[in-house]
Amino acid sequence: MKTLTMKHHTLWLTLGVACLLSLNAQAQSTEGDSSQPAGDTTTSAGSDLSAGASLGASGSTESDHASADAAVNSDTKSAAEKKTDVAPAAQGATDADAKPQGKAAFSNSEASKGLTAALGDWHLTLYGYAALNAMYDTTQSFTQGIYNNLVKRPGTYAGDHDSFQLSVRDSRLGLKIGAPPSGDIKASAVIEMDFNGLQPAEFTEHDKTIQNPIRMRHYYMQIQTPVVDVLAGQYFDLFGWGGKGFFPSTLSFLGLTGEVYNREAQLRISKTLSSEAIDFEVAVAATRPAQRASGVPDFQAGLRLAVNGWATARQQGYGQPSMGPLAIGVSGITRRFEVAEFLPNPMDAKVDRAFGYAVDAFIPVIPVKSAEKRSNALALTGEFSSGGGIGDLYTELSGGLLFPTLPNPSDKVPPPTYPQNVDSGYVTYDGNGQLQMVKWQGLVANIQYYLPIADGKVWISGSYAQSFSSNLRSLTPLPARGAVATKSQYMDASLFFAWTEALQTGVGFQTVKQTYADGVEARDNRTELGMHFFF
Amino acid sequence: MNNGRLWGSIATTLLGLCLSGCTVDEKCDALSACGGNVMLGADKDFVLNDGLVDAEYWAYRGDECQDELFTPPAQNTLLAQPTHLAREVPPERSSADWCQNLVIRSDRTIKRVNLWFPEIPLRDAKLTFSAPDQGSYMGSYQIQFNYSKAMRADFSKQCMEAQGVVFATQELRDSTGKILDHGCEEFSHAMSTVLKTEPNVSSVECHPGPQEGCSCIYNMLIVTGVTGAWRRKPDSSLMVLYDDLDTPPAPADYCAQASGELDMTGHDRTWLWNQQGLRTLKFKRSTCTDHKQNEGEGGVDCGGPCPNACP
Repeated sequence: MKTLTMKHHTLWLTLGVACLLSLNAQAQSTEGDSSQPAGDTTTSAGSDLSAGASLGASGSTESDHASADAAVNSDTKSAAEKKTDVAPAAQGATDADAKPQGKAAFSNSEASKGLTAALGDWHLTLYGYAALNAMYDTTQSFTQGIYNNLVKRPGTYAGDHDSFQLSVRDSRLGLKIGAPPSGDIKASAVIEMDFNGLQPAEFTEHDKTIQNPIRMRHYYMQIQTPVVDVLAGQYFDLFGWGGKGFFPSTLSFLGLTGEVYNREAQLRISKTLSSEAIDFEVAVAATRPAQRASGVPDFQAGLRLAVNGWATARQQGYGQPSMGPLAIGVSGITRRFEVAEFLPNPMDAKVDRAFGYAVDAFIPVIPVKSAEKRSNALALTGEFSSGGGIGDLYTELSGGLLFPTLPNPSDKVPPPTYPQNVDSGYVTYDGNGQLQMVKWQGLVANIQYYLPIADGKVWISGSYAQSFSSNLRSLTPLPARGAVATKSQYMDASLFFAWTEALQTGVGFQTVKQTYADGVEARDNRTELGMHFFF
Repeated sequence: MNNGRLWGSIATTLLGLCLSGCTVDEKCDALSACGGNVMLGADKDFVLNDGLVDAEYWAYRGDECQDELFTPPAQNTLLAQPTHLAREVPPERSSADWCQNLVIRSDRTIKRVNLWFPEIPLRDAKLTFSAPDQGSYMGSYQIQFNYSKAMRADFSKQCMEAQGVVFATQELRDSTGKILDHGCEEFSHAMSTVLKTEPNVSSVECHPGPQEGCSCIYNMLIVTGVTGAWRRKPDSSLMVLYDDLDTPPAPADYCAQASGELDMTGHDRTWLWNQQGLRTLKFKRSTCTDHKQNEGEGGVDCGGPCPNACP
């Protein structure tokens, strides 16, 4: 069965790529080679679009590693951003009209290259990257990313022995489709995937590494109108302003410990008030609820302010550096939980509402004029977030919390089980049967600096991040406290090299320390090498 | 890039530095392993009276190094569950019972309660070696481990009320003023009664606690012992400890010094005497000046092997 699945995926991919490449080749053969210098995004759009096909242009990829908003992020960006950080193909020819003069070219993506083809008024861009990640860990706690997973306790075999992994699972493939505009209305779509799909537990280690199922990352449509922009589909949460330039520069897989990093199916409406000096964006979104039994979607809202005249080069995740303006974003979420009563046969539910907020900032300390000549560029990124019942908005964050065991006062065999109707880790029942939100606080601080070598083609970054729960310990019955971690502290340092326009390599050191609720501390140190070919 | 080799060298160097410097320190460092004679100076047979001399060592809290292990509570709800059918979601895993698996009978006596969490640390250990018989490489030994800790268990109000315990903010009295019920007092009595038969638990007291319930404090003492045979290779610091239960041999690295100190470390990161998590122990030889009655003494540091007769 798994062989069939693999063949199916491979066939699908092969057909897709072959189709797109043939389109590209056809366009090139009929309209000439219009390839352009990489990164020349301010001038690429017009030539791209007129040529109909090109190598170059700014398709964007983003990863759990190399983050960034995929591709057609023109939804709420300023005219300048729309012009430059979105794949011309996906934007459609009308983008050229929106190009302001004399405004910096900003991007919330890695601005990687894309293979672009035009079919009449339709535009397609294939983008992504081939990745190889090598990770050495001092424990056997993680599969690929550290995220917010638990570090194995010292004194256990997995906690005392090391591991090494080579993985290509983070490789990425994306397709951007730009439809012909209709008056002032532009529509586009992005489908993006990687190879981190879930695998059955009975897979062997070999299969888990080699036969990687495709995972849906971004699947969304985007509609731009003169009044508002609409995004419908799966994309980063508005909470934390994912994909809007606030991800840290790091070789580590995103999200970092305590970093808001999540994608959800959503319907988002936004409006950006744009000028030469600033962009001000307001957005609201209804997203997939954390618990479908809640009966209502989650609601998110955010404000973002960008100062366009103050920008510098910056990298998100391990993506390719691009320009980003000074920006600050605030966002919030509220969601409803309707959890079955803590009884063997519940007939009623406990209802409570969760809230959370996040503040994000990107500060270009030493500005530069372009992402291509970025020597001495220095930037800071930070995020603080807090809330209850929002653990799913941080990657794989639960602290190890499970619902308590149902009491069995009548000593029944088999014992009664609780028909749980919400995933573990968001809420739980205390000793008195009261529904309680698990509170979490997250903090991320990041610095990146581009060395004055080869126009900044060598750069360094460092991060500190932490997550902390003030009530996880008290919400865990005493005998189980050794299984939950209430605090994680994470630090990393990365060094990147851009060998060519497309080829980038990074080496990094990451360390994470976790404190279990019984006081035991566990630590993992990771050394990572990442090689990426962006297209 | 022309500087490719340079950057490649830098990257390789940094990677090497990271790899060489990123190991995590062990909690329990191995103690010295010099070998030596654990029977040095032994001239009395005070344990088995089998004609073979004995040597007694003691270790106390703080002399041991144990891994901070966590044994998760058994998933009681998953026991004896019927096999779930295909496409049926199996029961979710859970953490632990807020009620400590408490079961109270209809006569309000306690049928069951789990008081064994968290892990109980070592209080002291007494190790006695008997010398090998002539012509034999193997001697016998016995070791007694005493684990103790003042423990606490919380029982929430809801948990106890589900078991029929009546709580009142005021004492419930009958017309004569006799206390009928007072939540934690009655519970304390029931706990004490049921735990009287439990040799490991003592001094149970329950008071009003968190979550409007009762908090019980008690002392837990676990005494366990191992007897068996020991063998060491000549000119080696490795001692192999066999036990009478035929569990796998427990090899240990040791260092017996003339001062009477004996360091023992589980060989190759194994556990000493197969005791869970026990990695190292620092023993001291019993003497007639250690202010303890040991090694066959008739009293504290007198009688038996000691030069001073007991008064």
